[in-house]
Amino acid sequence: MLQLKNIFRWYNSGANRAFVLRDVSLEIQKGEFVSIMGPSGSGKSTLLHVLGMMDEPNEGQYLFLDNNVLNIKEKQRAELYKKHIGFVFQAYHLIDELTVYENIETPLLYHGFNSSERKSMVADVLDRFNIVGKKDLFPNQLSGGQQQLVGIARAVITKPDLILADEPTGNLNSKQGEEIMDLFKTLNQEGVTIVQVTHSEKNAAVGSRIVNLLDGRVV
Amino acid sequence: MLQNYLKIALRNLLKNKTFSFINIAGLAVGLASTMLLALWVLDEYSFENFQEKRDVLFQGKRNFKESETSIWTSSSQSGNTAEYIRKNFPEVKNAVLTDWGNNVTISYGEKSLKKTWFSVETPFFEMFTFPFVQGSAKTAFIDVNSVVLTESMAKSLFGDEDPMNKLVKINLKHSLKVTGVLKDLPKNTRFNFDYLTSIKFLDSIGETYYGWSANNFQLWVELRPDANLEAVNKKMLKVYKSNADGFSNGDLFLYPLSRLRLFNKFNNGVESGEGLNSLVSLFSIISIVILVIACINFMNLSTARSEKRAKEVGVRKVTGATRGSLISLFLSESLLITILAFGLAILMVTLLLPAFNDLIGKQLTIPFGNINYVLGAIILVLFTGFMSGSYPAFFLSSFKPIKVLKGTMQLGRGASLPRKILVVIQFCFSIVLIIFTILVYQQIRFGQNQPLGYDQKNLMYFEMPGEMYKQFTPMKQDLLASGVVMSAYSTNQPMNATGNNSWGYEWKGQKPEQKNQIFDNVRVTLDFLKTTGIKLKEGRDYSPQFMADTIHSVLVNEAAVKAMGLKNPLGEIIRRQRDGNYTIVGVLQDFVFGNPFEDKQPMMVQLMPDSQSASNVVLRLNPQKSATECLEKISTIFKKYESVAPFDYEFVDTEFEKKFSKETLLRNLAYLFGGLAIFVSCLGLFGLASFMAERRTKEIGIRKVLGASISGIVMMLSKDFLKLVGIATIVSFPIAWWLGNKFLEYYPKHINFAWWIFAVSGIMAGVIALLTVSYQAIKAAVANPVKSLRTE
Repeated sequence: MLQLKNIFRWYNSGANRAFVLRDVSLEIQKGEFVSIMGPSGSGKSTLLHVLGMMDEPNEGQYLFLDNNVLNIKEKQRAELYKKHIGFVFQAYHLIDELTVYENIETPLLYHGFNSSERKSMVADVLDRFNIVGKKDLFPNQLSGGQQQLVGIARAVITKPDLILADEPTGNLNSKQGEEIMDLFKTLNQEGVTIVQVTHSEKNAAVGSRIVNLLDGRVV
Repeated sequence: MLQNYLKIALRNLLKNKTFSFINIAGLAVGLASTMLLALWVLDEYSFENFQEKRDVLFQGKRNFKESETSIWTSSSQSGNTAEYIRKNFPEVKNAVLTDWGNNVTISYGEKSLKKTWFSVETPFFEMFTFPFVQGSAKTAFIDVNSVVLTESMAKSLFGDEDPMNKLVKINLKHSLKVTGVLKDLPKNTRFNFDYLTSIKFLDSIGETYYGWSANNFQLWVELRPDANLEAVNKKMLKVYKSNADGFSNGDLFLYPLSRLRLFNKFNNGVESGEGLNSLVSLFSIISIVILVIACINFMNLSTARSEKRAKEVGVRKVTGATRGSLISLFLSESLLITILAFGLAILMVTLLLPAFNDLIGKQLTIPFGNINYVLGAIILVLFTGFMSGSYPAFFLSSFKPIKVLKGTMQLGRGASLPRKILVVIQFCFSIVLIIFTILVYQQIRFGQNQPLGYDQKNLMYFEMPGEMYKQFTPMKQDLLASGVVMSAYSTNQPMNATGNNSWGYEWKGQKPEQKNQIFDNVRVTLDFLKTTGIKLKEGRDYSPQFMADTIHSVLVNEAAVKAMGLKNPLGEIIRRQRDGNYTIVGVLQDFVFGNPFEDKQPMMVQLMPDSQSASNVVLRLNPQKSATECLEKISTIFKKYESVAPFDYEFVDTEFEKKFSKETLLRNLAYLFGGLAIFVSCLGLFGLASFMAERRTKEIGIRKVLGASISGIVMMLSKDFLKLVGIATIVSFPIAWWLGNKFLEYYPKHINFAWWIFAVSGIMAGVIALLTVSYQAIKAAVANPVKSLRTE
């Protein structure tokens, strides 16, 4: 599905280059469930952002569904991203001013669905995630686990092929964490490719493959 | 999509009530001031627009060379001009004379009203769009003894009776038949007559004089559509020259009717640009400035709060939002706020309009039904919404999602720089307005406090209607005997009223170019000096002992002596072809007669016998008696001599105040809009201060834990803002200096720019800013640090 070849990412701090990613090559097949692990500062999040096209490497090649991501136009890249990728954050990142329903609906607005399509799609997802009763609440009225549920619902509603999750259970207690991982597992079984960054061995084990990073290198 | 945007916008508004209030109130004030000014400006620009022939109508003006260095521009013409132009100018379709209009009593039966009487030649009705309701232009003045009334004039004189063919009396003596009724004049015209007669009627009662050197008529010209104004004006220059009768009577030229309202001010023979238009454009700029200040508030507060919105931007981008869609999100937010503010502004304008009308002396209304105004309002809202929303929209939508979502975004010092610059600009405007307001106030005070050269208090005058002047001598005796009047004289021009002047005098040692020296002419009866309190510099007052005073003597003022260049003026003779010789018997100390801001004009005061036709009586009241008692007694005496006409009087000091109407208008507007500008700036500053205090809660908490005092923290928080106001003060000084001097140049006599004005306005701005900021600073400083640190 995607292929990273010799990716370098660095920041200039004064005269020195601070490398975040060094010569990372990685291939992920459709249907995989990959967990990226490593200590703090090893480059996990940066790698995830590169995969999610939110960060550009300084060197290297990135092929996504046969598109050379780094050589195509910004607009095409945005289209590619919009069509195929969903993002889940550690801190959920819901919009505080919007209700659960509206938060889940937001991506659909940007994907150009009309009002009735949006209604049925949101209703489906609410139903599936068992949060119909919460649809009119605001994020600050929900527990962390429920917020992350909404975050994932928002990520999957556009039916992406790839979900990128940045420590999705980092802010949750273990029981909530388990539920979220179960959900990812189900999604993966339905054919969605998942890449997660995690600190937890247990959560990493849920996936089909583990990639270990240390000081910006795959080990 | 839009629905979603608006939902978010509304929720944001409700969530941040302080910011919403500041934004909406500020924009509403800005919009309201723009709308008020727009109503005024559009009204000024609408003058004479209803005249169907406005593009081909002109007023005759003439440039008059007083000396080598000064050209005086006048609108009065010789009565011969119209006839001459009609005959000799094929480019001219119509040319008519009118007089200047007078307030004269018109009566029907028992009813007597003092209204504006104006005389015209018949083609006047073809040129100007003043349609007839009854009668017609063709028939109105066939009979010389005819009068045409306006509708409301007819109504107040006749009630529901049909006025046509009824007889009315003008000035209690002339019986005229009503031959027409005109539709009431629109408010936006320079003409303000209530009834019209033909110039031929004036001829028949001997009140006209036709001579090429006279200057007693107004001249109105309609050019043919294909005529070229410049070419016509070249020929017009020769009108007076080719009819010279020994005098140099100036150069005639045509001036567009459409420019009369706003641009009619001449300096050395050319339009000076200092007419009403300068006031109009000044305040148009000021109102836009206030709106800009309000928009700046919006930008400042939005960007200041950007860290709070940053997460939303990030999330939206991650879920697929493009930059364009975010820009439209923020713009629709600012548009929503502008629309709310606009609603509030409409309410404000509706409530304020009566007071504003009082202030500017007009009767403006909000033209809700006028499609042009509605369109204008929509454009105003769109413009304001876009202007205030654009910077935040582009700024906020540029955030990189990974940075804001990881919480690593630091807006830092660079990001607050534009905000600081905007605050400096706001306060610059405010300080310039403060300085300007002080200047205007000072200049008016200066005009009012000038030594007048006579005693204005207890000085009044009333008009003598009809032939009352014939009984002036016994009336004067009655007045003096009543005990309320100390002294009285009759005159053709009461104090304050200039307008009668002449030229063509000769004297010993006169330079050739001085033949055109213009003198104000005042004709008085005995006791002029005694009544007014004007002082003699040398020589003597008029006196009944000298029988010849009425024919051969003249009093001049100091300015006249100076203009003529006389060393020993007493006994010198002033000669004028038609009038004869006058000996200077006395020199008057200069006194303010006309415009208090202009240099004193040369003046001749001539004595006339009691029996001569004079329009006014000037009285010195007994200061021991109350004004009510004085008026009562004088009114009784007046009634004894004139039972029909109303007793119409003025006090000289209140009339004098009216000479400052333009300045007072300027001052009132400067107060109002200066105050608004400062208010809106302070709103913005208040918002920024509260934002800063909120942002620095943690820092303040830590400082307090470490032992900082409350006053120290208040100082720290206020200092930043005071610095900005300080910079604004320095930047505004040269601007204010330049603008202020430009304003003062407008007045030949003016105050000097005093340094303390700068000091006062700088301190004022500082104090206002400090008061605004300190509330937030103190609130933040006294907060419990334990609480603020825990919330982190």
